[in-house]
Amino acid sequence: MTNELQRESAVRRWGKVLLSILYVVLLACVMAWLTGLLMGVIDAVRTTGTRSATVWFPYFDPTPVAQEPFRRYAAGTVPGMVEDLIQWNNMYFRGYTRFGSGLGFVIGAVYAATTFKFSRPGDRLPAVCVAGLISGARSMLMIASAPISAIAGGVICAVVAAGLAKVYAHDTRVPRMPLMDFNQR
Amino acid sequence: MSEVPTVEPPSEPTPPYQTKLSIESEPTEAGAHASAPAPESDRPVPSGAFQLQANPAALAKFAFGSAITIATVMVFQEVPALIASTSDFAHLLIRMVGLWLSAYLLFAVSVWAMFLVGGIVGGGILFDQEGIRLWRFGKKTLWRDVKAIGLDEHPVFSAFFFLRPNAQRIVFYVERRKKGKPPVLAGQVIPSFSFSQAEFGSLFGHACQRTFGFIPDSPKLYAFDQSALPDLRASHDKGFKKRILFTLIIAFGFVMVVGRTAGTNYFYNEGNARFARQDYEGARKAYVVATQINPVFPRAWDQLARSEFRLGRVADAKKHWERALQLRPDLVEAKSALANIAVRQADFYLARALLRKCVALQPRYLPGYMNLADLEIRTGNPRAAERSLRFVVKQEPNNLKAHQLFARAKLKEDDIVAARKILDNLPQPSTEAERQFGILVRAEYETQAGNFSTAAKLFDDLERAHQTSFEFYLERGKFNFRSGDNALALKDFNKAQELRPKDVWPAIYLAEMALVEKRDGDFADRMGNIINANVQDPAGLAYAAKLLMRSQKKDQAVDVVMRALQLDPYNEAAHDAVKSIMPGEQTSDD
Repeated sequence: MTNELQRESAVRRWGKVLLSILYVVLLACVMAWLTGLLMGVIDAVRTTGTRSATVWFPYFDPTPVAQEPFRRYAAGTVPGMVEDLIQWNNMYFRGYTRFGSGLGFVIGAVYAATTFKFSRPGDRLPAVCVAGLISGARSMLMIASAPISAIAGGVICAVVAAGLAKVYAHDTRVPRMPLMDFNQR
Repeated sequence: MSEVPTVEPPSEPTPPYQTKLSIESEPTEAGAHASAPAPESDRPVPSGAFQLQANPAALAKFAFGSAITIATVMVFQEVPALIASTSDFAHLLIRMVGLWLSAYLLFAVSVWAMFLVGGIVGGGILFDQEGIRLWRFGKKTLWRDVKAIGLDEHPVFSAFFFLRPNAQRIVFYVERRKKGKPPVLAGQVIPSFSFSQAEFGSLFGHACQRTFGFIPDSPKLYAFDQSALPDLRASHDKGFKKRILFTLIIAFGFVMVVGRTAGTNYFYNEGNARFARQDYEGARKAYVVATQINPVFPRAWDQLARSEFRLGRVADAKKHWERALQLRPDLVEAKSALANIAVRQADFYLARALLRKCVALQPRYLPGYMNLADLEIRTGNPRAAERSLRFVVKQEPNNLKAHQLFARAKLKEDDIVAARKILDNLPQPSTEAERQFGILVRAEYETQAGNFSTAAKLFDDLERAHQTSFEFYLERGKFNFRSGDNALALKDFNKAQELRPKDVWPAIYLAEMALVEKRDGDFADRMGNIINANVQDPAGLAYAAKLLMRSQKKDQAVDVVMRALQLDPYNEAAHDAVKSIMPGEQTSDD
């Protein structure tokens, strides 16, 4: 009976890990869309009345979009896939919405990775790594819009995020300071 | 302070995982821990030890509060720049609101994120029976060395950064001993903005209890050892003076940075407005001021060079574009402009390298593709030019200059029908420069098609509009030569040579004129000069080789065409020349 329960809980445990990864990716995308929209509106406000004014919804940015994007890496390879994602990101989020979506990706991924509930500290690691990967890759795109640097940034950030999660787990083993109520004294 | 209650550590470690960022937020499941190794959080911790992590909500409050001030200051520094580029007050106001919102969100979110990461890396405050450690990498301060503890409020700071309740700080006055010197009291500070009010007050209470053995009734007091009073006063005064000095330095630096940015932005935008009105001298003066205020602003150097270029001060423009590239090596606009100057100086190798770098750095930089196409047409690669132009036209179907260059490429390939088709379907020009360039390309077409009267009319139009550039004289010279007016052609080629002494084409056409007029000595001299000069233009060399072949000098023709292939092994004009000079010869292009 105990073994059966343990097996069941292991299934549940790994299910939660997968669910947490899905949650990180989904929340990152939703937040990217929302903050992209918000920044698009803000950009339209801040450029209003100028020659380079942003066009209102649905296209915030009047810059023409490349019909046939420039390719550096062959489709099917890892850099090629990342390049496709970058191209998609650049086409979907144009102008200032791109910056906003970048913030959203990072905020959404980090928030999702830190709020999902787990029974063991180690189970959080995959979600934290995915959040680090998304945040690092997207942040790197603000510096250089290239697949290799994005992959490198993502991997570095994932490692750093995993390290921070480990450090935080270590820190929180010490009991929290009890609060004093000065008003009742 | 009649009674001194003590705070006992809880018998079982309090679940530390109550904040949002905690690793474990749920009670553990029954079966899950049964067979698993003990997680790190179950390991024993020093007795009486507590930790206080940064509170994300408190950090957010500080980040979003201080962002109000920072965003407002940033907007005010941008106002001069907005005035220069906005037509009326209502739009100015709306733009200021947009700018403020954007600055506010950007600053608040970035600062909050930095604080959160900093909080995790810093590791929070840890204290036990022995002493307190303010952050992970800090040295533990022993309670017995703490001679005084105070809690200060900062109403001015709080008002400036919209913090409610007022920001506070706990100061530990710690006795420091150095060899051969009397002990001094040094202040160690914990600011309140990382914690909630209750957490911060409790921290103060715990510190008082551990140091002096009592818990204060209120968090607003100074607790000290009587013997340390004189030193405490001196240390407190010293700390106060340091804070004032630090605040003054920060304020001065802030004003300088804000003022400098405001000034730079104003003059840069003023320059842009004048540049758009084609007041290039006015724009140049504004950009000069912008670069004087901020000498490390590459865009201002780039625009200064652009204004100088339009005023005909090419040497100054070159110098300033190079300065812009020193400051920002990936500024494609400056690279593209320097390539343009290199073309004027017939340094096609440098021009091609710069333009290829431009499109590699910014694969969607269409002016880079257009300049590259122009260069390819000049240097005898019209089909390569067409590839770049097709990309441009795909992105911008109404790009007139691209269509005009396309027609030119077709003319270079002697495809007159295709050139005519393009020229008959050109979009409307939106600027005078586009219109004039269109007339020049049309005149080239009419010359090549043998419609000399139409071509003459078009060249007259250009001359009346004072569009008398190097290209104008070269193309009119070709027209006059083809239409049989060699005297006028000679004048035009000489004028073109005067405008660009390093360009080989006027010399080649003058040599061709000598060949046609059967002035063999003059032809030999002119060709000798071309061969001995350090010519970088493969198309020019290929054409010169064809002329040598026409004058029955095959050996020299072969040498010259080989030089063209050395410069550019895939040059289309050079390969065509090889086919005409050595009909049975296979080239690497075939």
